[in-house]
Amino acid sequence: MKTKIFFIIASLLLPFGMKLAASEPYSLSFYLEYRKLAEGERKISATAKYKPDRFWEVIQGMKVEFYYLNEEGDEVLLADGITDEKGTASILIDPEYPLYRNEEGLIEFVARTEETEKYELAEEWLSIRDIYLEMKLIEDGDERTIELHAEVLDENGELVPLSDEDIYFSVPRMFSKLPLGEETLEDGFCSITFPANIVGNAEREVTILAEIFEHYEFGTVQASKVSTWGKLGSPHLIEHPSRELWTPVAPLWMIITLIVLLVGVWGHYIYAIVQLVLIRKAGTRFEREQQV
Amino acid sequence: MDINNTLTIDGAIKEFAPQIEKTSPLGWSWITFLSVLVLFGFYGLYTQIAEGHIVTGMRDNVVWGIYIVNFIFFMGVSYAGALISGTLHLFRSEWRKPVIRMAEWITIISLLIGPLYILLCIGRLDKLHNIALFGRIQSPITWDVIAISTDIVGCIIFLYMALLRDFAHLRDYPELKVPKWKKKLYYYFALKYHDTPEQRKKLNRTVDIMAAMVIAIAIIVYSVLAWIFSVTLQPGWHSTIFGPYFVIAAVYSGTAVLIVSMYLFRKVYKLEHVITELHFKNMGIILLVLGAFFGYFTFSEYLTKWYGSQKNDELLISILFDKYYWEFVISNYIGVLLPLIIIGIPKFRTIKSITFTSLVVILALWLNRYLIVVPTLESPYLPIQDSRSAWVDYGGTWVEWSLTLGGIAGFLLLFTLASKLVPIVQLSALVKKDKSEENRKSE
Repeated sequence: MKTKIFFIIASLLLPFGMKLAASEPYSLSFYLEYRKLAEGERKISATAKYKPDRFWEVIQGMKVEFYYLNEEGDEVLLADGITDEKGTASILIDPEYPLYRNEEGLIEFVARTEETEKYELAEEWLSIRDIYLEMKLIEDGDERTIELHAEVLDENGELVPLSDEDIYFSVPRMFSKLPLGEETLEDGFCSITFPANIVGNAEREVTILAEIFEHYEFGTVQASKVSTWGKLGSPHLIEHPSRELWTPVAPLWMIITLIVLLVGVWGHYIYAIVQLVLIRKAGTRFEREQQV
Repeated sequence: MDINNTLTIDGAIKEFAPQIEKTSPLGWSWITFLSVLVLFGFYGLYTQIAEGHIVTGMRDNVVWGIYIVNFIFFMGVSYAGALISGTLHLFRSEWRKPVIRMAEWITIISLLIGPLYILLCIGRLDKLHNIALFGRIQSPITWDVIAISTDIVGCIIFLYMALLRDFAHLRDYPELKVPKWKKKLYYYFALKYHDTPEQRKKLNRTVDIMAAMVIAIAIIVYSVLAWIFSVTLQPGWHSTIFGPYFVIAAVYSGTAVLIVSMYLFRKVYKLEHVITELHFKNMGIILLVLGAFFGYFTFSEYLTKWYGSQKNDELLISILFDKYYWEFVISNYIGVLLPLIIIGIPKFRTIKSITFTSLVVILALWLNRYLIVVPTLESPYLPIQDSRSAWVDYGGTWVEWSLTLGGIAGFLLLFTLASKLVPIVQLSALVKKDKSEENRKSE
């Protein structure tokens, strides 16, 4: 019997054990994203995916090394990162960190994964032209304007006004960005009126964000400022709240159902306890009769 | 020899009295061993209270861990005990008699142990009373608190009524060599029951009603527990079949626990002539049917999620088949297929193989609950910014395992002590018309 049970378990486990068998390493989908944050830090993110079956799946826990190219064209290690549950590894570069710009004024980055038994080596290059965004908040009576100045570093290393690029203005909220509008740069300048109905925090503070999105040459570049232009939010007070799942008072059907169920069940319990009392009384009576 | 329905009540007490009259050195060792494990659990509890929940593996993302898994497991076992004892009682199954008391004890003891794990999850126990003061009835957590307390009361009443006749028999048996406090306890708990026609009628009718009640409550309560998960939009939890799935899984695991209990008590108290192969085969068949249902629900649950191809469902399934690969295989493949093969093929259907299968089912169903709770919390819809991997990935700490071990030991200890209080087999159900008892009454 023991042998039979052993064989049954072994045969059940066999197909799963076959998963461990070695196979060809997967080639990867590997891409880089560049983001220049409002504080001037540069964030480079590398995402690795592979396709075991019909769908791409992210790779978690993979080491990625990030480099930049120096004036000799050699790779200089910036840092390494481990991919998270989204398959992305990121590094932050300090604004003061000296990065070499080539003769075209571009900063060149390289990211590379490790070659393993499961995955092939993957490598990606990124050339970025540095731009600078500066936001100004102008208040004139009731009129509030956000001004944005944009300059780009040309091949001679000089700052020149940037034109014909779209700037997206928004206010970051808890789950997403609340769009304020979109403007195009003209001679390094654009502006937008701040709406009067944006709710701020208790100090009326609102963070305003201006961005160039995923540009082929600049990547994503942000500028932001905290204004005190927000409206004070008022608590949503309702004198007689309706009966909903999310209001303090429950829907009637729910209260009725609960009461009916509880009365039904506890009614039976009380009945059972009363019966026990009656059983005891009947016992007392029986004992008295026996004594007589 | 099958003694069912062949003993007088005096004969039955004489047969089973040694269980409650004395404890062997091995029995004392067993009780001491379990007590040490319970104390180890208490040490874990002291550490948790002294140092806070940081000593557990629970963090920002995975806010529920092994404690909740144990809670669901023990509650499941208890509902299974209630369903099995209630159903077998209502169907008047003759073969049920030697095992029904075990099912009833399993219900009560699990109900006492299970909810303690919820308390272990709560960081501010001093605020617990606020559930009663400010609980909103729209919240499934409130339903659960109401449902569990209702269930505990119902099961205690049902168990007490089932024990009443035996208390009376033990009270009336003069040769029983038990301490005075136990005799007093039998006297008070027997409620002056003398099996008069009036008392018998009242008791039978009330036990029938309570049997029906505990079945209904068990289904409702375990469904409520399932709804705590399924009314949320979390991947892996938001499912319409979670209620019945939980109920089936509960009865499945509880049946397995009952079979293992039958095996152990049969061995320890030498009850081979009372709990026969027939009982194991019948319970085995119940386990087989429940296993098939459990497999069907599991397959249906994951198939629809996989075909739906929603981003988070896919992420969850990929975690299940990667990080939790072996747990998933043991829980949802071996836990389903092993009973189908071993109990399904008559040739393999023996007491030992059925018990072994039950042990595997217990492990599989504990892992099933772990896979329901933890991987989902490890793949949230909303990523928490700057989350460290240690905050996202969950692993139980020694404190959580010590309390788990303490809970299991507590369950076994209470079960052992319960078998020392009244015979583990329902005396009154084993006997036919008891002439000596009748004579005593008529004297």
